[in-house]
Amino acid sequence: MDLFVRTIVGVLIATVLYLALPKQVKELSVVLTIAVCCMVGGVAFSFLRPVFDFIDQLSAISNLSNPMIKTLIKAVGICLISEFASAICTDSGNAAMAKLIQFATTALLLSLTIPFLTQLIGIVENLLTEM
Amino acid sequence: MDIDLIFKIAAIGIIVSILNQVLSRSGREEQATMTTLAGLVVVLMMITQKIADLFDLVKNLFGF
Repeated sequence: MDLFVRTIVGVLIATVLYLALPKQVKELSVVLTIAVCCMVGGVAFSFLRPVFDFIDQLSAISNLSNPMIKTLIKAVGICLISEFASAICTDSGNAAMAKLIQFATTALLLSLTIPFLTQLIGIVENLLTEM
Repeated sequence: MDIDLIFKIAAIGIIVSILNQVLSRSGREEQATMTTLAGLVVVLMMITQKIADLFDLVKNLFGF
């Protein structure tokens, strides 16, 4: 809780400093945004660690296939990171880069799901040959 | 959370801006541009480690 409050206060101070930075050094404002995002992202991800441990426990109890859970968690991570990056690009006035980051994320997620789609097709094939 | 880094970046930004103004008014536009670039490079070097830390954390956490 203490860490959370410190993070919020830090973000508020950074927002004021962002506004206080003069117009001549607009690049540094973007760098300040990236620095704050990295720090707050680090804090937020560290809060998520017990959640993932819990998911691991649940998957061990329920005998769920581990690669599938791992891929789901990976997909969540990719989405979060790309969301950060795309928001920073949009804020700095570069919407084209933001769109490209989103496109790259979509492509990566599709490529991650291909093994499962192949498995699914195999299962459907087996079902059809048995019938 | 390392608040000092935010203050450092803001301070560098303000100093670079003042130097930029002073150099521009005294007719040294090239040096003003170089000062801005130098400030940007210094700040980028400062936050590169933070970005690497974040990506390491994400790699560990999400199992990449």
